[in-house]
Amino acid sequence: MIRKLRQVSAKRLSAALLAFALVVTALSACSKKDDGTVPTENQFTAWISTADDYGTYYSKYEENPAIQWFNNQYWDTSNHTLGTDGNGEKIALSFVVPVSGSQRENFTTMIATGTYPEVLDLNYADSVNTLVEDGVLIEITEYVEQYLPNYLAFFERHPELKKFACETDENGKDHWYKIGAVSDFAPVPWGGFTYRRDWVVKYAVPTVYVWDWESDYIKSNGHPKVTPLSVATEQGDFTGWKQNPVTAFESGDGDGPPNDTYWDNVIFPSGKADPYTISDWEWMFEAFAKAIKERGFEDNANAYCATVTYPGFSATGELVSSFGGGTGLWYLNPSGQVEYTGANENFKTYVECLNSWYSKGWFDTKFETRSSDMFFAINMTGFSQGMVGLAYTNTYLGDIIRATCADESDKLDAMVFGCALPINDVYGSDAQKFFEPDCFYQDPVVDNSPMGFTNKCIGKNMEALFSLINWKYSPEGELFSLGGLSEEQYQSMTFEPDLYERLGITSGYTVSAAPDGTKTMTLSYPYGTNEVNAIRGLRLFNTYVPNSVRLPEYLIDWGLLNVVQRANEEWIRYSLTGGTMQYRQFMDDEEAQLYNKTNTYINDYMAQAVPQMIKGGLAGWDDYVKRIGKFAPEKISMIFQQYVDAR
Amino acid sequence: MTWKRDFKRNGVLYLIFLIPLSYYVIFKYVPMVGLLMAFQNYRVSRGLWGSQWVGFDNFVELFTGEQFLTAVRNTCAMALLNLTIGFIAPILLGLLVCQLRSKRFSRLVQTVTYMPYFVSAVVCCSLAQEFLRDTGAITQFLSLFGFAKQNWLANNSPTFWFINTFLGIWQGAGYSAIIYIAGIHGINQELYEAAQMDGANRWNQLLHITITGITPIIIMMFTLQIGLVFVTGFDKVLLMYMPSTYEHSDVLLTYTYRMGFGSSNSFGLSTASGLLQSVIGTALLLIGNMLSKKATKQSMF
Repeated sequence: MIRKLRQVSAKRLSAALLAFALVVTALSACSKKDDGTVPTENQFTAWISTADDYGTYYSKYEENPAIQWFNNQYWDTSNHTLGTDGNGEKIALSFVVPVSGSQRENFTTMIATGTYPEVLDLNYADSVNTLVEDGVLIEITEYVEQYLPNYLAFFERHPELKKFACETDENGKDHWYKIGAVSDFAPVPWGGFTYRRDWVVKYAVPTVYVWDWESDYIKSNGHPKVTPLSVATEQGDFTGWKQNPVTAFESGDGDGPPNDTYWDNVIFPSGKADPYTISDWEWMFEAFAKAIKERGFEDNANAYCATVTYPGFSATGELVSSFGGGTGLWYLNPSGQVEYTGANENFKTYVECLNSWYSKGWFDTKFETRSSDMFFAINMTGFSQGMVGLAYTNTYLGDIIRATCADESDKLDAMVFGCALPINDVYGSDAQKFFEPDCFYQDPVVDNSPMGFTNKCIGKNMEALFSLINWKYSPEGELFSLGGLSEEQYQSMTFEPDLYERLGITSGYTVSAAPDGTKTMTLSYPYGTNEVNAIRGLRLFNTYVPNSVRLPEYLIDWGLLNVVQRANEEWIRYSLTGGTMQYRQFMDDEEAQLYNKTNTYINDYMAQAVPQMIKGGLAGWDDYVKRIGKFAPEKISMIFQQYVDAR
Repeated sequence: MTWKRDFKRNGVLYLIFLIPLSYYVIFKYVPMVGLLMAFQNYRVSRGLWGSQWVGFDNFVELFTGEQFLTAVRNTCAMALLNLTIGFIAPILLGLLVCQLRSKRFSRLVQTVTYMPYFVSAVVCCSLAQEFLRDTGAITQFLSLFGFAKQNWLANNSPTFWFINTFLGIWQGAGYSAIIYIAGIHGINQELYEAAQMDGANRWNQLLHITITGITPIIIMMFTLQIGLVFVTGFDKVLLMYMPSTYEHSDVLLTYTYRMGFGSSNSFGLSTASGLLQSVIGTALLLIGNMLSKKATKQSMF
């Protein structure tokens, strides 16, 4: 044997060894990782559409400190919560995270080839019902009812929301197929309309009269008898108005960050410190126009007073619903009827308003060409250079403008404030005025795109998995979901890699108690920052809608600067009641196909026609309405309606 | 010679041939089974054999789409421009390069014109967007001749067809010219010497020797091009168009992309569109080959 081996040339032997090593390596990669301490039935893999580290903090999601901690715990299946070595079982969680931008493709490939794991993030599922129907997702009713008392407690607090989370059959029996994030109160959007507050201070002229919120007329009617101020002045009727106590605007800031210490005495024509009506917005635009002119930006296409997303409207209804309600697409009106609103009088008034702004030179002249900009980052070049008055962004842009803008005074003074959607007091008929906006971008209180459990879970230890999930819905789990590991949790084990150590923290949050017993939870990083997202394992059974954790026993110090906090309050000034997207999940395959087809056709056409009307006027409105009618949007309204009525 | 004897004699060659054959079978022919999706309401979770058979429904949906005819018109217009201006440009470039007396300059021109081929479509289109915006270099240049300072890509007019064609020429002419240059270099130099002795000037030499010499290559390239004319340029159009210019920029592939993968995945519709375009491409290829055979007595097959 040895003699024979010697006969083989060294090269051939090396080649054979290399080939063997290659095959072994390749095959070992195919096998599932087994750490030897957790039985196979306790190993779960979850497909999640995104991780939270932005490629900065860890190379794989299992390295997230929250996940490391979960993988080190014992789960007590009798009490559906954290257990000990003596009464619990370990679970090994691993994750599949697709490359950013290829999520849909990756999801589709998994389903088509049957290579999906036990748990699926359903963000990219066309129809959850179809996945259930085709046997990919399993019914989890017995586990929910037996092991998720904390989750069910949420629906006991909010029985009206249960319809979005489970199916109830004709016998009244609930059937659960998915679980997801829930929220006890309206979550704060992470972005919204923002405007250059410093330009208002510098260039706006205080109006002589403002709304008198203490007047009997406004107390009874919510607004003055005649608005806007120009019309009230024309008619000489100032019922509900009062003399403006402020005659000149001034502002300043303290020693801390400008976003925290800034102050001013701005009062809008509506009598409020923040813009409230369309006429408030238009009053701002006059100031913005002066600012742009003074800076010599008039011929720059990136400089303008205001803009909206590129087709001229947003599918979530931003600004559209200010004109009597509607989204521009399907809308659940206050009487409970679903209607298509892209061709009704409210939408016409909305387009008239934007056309008016365009004609006055206030509106972005290139809005329809910004089709590749994300809705939350429209023309970032113009905005970050301090050339834009109002757009949909977030308030941290003030910092960016101060760092990057061309104008020297803006570098010192730029201040970006968030504002609520305006109430229309100028355009259209009375029916379209003084209507509180009811459609805008906001996470739903019951997640539309939750986690599903596939047929690969059959034979697995679902009891242990659901005990873990139940803990995440507990008050302790809420703290965890919001801030990450407590100091005690962090000290309880060794992390490898240790992100907390890298960030120089020993806990995700701290809790302090006042003498009166009030407990305050303080996050180690301001809420919404990359760091806080990276340490708290949010993607693991995303149990709470972002910005919505309910901790009644605690005062939560979110770590937000004053300007951010104020913007958050503005962005949730109104309630989202007109959205229909939550009902989309109930459509069956055929309905979903019809919806997708009609939605694509309509969006395609509106994206061409609406910009033309905003820029050129509404002469073609009647033709537009006829063309929209050909797509039969009412068929989709009827589909939505049946689910609204049934629930 | 029997096949056994042939195999015995050329066994190694057959084995080597197995590699490309396997490639074609595995990656080109087996996936053709997927064409069945064009006739199905395909669901990924049910697979090819479990999805519902819907006959020609996907084709009906494709043909009755609101913008289908607009997309067909734009596709034909851009295809026509690509087959004319776009096809002639590399031939002209090849002929011009071969007329250069300085070899060094000739190589420089070839390199410079060849390089854009290696620029990705994304970069290429970003450059186009920069140059063609209202403050872009090309726009500024055109304004010297009285054209409006505007974003040319946002101009909802047939201008888009020409932009797409010229961008294709900028990117591909240098690469496509290589084959013509090689063909011209392959022409027997004695023909030129004989022509010179007969008193032919350079124009006559170009016309009667050079162009005649590369006519078979031109025919081959044209026939190949005609078969692909409906499917090329998708990436560029997708990257440059915008909803406000769909009327003149939307082509069959982008239209299908939106309809098939807009709100959700519609594999049936997109496969139907792909099949339709393949059939049209094959028909054009055969017709082009046949016409070439009749007109010039030369053809690919």
